[in-house]
Amino acid sequence: MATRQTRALAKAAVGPSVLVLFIWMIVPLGLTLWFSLLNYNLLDSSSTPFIGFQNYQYFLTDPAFFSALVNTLKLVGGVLVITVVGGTLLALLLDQPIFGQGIVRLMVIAPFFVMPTVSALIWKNLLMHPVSGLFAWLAKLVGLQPIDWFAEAPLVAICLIVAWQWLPFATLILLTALQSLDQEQKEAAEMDGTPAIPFFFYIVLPHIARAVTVVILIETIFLLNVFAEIEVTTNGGEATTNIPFLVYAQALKQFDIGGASAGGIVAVILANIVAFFLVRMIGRNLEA
Amino acid sequence: MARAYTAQRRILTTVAAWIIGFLIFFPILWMVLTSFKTELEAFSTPPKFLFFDWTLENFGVVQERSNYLKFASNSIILSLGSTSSSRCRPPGRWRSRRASGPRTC
Repeated sequence: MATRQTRALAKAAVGPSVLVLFIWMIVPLGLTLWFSLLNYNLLDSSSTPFIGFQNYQYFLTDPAFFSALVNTLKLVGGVLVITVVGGTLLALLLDQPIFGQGIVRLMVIAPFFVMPTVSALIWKNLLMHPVSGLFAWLAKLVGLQPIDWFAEAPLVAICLIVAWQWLPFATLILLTALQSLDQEQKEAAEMDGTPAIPFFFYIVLPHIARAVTVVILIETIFLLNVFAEIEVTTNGGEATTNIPFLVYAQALKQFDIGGASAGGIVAVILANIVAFFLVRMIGRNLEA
Repeated sequence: MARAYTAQRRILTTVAAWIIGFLIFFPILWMVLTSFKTELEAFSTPPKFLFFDWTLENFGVVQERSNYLKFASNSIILSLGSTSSSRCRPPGRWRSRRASGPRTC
């Protein structure tokens, strides 16, 4: 039972760390907001006049912004579909009793430990290379024309790379969710003679729905920020630039700190909108 | 596990799981194999899977060209430092009595 004194004590005890976290958050945010209102260019940083919302106006009316927004949404959506569907199937498979379970699980989880830059390099130079890559060799083996992934379908290629990296995460979370499914429930369904597909949709899926929600939320946060894969493979370009890459290009290729800050704030607002809808749509699962 | 599975089903799922697991792991394996090849063999068509002249040359080259160990130690310091500083708890008796997890630092 919390008395008034203990509650006050708890507040006093938590206070300092809340304050540190608040400063930790508000200083970068405040500086970004401030820079976004200045005409601040690294090529001429002697004067940084206040120009109000002009940076936002330029950023939002830039045609590159809209295509970057579309690319971001395509990338996030594509990777989410692949990892959640693939992760569920893979988790169902790994939940079965198999020989050498530990080794198979290790092999499936391995891509998660590879750095994004490194995995982008592997896929670009060793697998998807149109001349010497393994996929090109396989295509020629069966008599097909090798695909030049980063020229013909760059966004699909990046989607595949990122999905490969995030598949283990989805698999791992969903596998633990599957393992907590009650054995007796399974047996009861089996005794009733439930076929596999209704068993999945009426018993397994409701059970792992919350884990799926967690996977979608966490992956969305990270997938909105995909950067290394784009930098390494295509180095931007209209077809693959997403919003983080656009902000980076604004700051470090055009040296326009003001515009990049405005872009950063826009990205924060967009991420919040996405998070709002996500939580409204699927967050109900988390409350139960 | 209280339930019995037929041997046939177990073998089938084992084969499927091993194939899929190997496919997912393959890019990493391919990277490891390529690291032991010479520059020419790395880009040869058809690709050589196991029967090539294994060489350690690349590992020396990467260190010579860019001081690899320094960068690697930077990575390790960063990851260990940020992990340990976020796992630390304040000293003293402020820990909740109910917290039963193992102490991490």
